[in-house]
Amino acid sequence: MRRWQGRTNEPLMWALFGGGGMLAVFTMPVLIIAFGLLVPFGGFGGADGTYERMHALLTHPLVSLLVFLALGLVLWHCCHRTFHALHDLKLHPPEIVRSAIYGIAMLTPAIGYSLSLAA
Amino acid sequence: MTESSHGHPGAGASAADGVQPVGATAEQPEPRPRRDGAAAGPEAGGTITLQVLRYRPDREDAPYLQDFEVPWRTETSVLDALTWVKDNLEPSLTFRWSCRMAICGSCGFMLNGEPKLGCESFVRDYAPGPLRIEPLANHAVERDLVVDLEPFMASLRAVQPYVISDDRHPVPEPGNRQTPEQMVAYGQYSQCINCMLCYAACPQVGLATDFLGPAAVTLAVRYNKDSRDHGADSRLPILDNEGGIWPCTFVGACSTVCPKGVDPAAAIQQAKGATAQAWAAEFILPHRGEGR
Ligand code: SF4
Ligand code: FES
Repeated sequence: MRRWQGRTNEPLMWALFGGGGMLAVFTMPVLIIAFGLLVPFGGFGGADGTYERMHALLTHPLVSLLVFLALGLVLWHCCHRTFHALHDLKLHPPEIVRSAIYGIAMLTPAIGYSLSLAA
Repeated sequence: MTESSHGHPGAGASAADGVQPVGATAEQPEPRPRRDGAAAGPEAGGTITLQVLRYRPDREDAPYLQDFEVPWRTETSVLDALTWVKDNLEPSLTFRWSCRMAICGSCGFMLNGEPKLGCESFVRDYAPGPLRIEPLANHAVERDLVVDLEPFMASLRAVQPYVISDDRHPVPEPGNRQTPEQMVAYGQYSQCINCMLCYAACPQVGLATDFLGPAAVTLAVRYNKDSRDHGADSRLPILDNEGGIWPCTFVGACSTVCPKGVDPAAAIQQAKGATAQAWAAEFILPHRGEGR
């Protein structure tokens, strides 16, 4: 990796941010229509047992991993935007704030995934 | 800057000597079809108050607004109105202009707080006024409406805005040719006239003083996308830099105000994408690009 003065890791941060945004844009409407409208209104033949079936699916270690990776990416998007909003508000917080904000984006899915494995 | 006696048709009819502005005189020309395609209505006209920012650092400690009553008619541009003030009321008023046809990019002003080209904005759209005319925001003022161009020029120079050839593979005869399709790839970005309206509109230019800014990044992308150019790698350290493209948060104001439809916001997004790709490529192949 070449180094030069002023080079940052922003390409990585931004790529994850962009990925999270894309993912949210494409999956949220589908999820809302599926679980907010179709399932409750019987679109898949009655809502009975949906919780149990979803629970069984989502606690499968592999499915759960994918879900938390996806949610983590979306959370990364939010955190990255929040950090840059501080700059827009002319706040220049110390490095610890930056670590905390991106830390939330990394730790939350990790903790969530371990909880789901334990469930 | 030359004194010109052409320009506004009302030149000579100053409000002070009691002569009506030309818009109200008897020898009114026949209404002509308007260039913007609007229905040819009766000629509009009247007078408007311009509130022009004055600042002469050798004489004043702080900028202030000075009012001028200016006659106007349908085809009076804001630049015409300023020229009329200079010719008839205040010869010391200082502003930049050249082409009067939205090509040279020198007449950018803040009109009622919005960055605009003076020569393609019409007084009729601001009637009955008042119309506030200030120097471009986010720039240091040298005098009246003239701003310091040097930071912008430095950004332009920094991105190496020229075709960089590949020394190892010289272009074969008969020349550095390009297909129409290859031209389309960067055509839109080559329309920039360096008017700096995008710099005046961008909140990040105001916040991050070392940001390259919309037009300079667009110019870098314009050459990176040129099939004849091989300079992307040497432009990378300028773009992928704290003060390069990264202060941009995709506000998009640059593309809204651009008088040439250049869409600098899109160019910066493409630069971010390309930079992320280059970063990933170097991450996977750590020695990529070394020794160049
Ligand atoms: S990109 Fe548009 S607004 Fe910016 S300097 Fe070029 S022509 Fe002017
Ligand atoms: S005078 Fe040339 S762009 Fe307005």
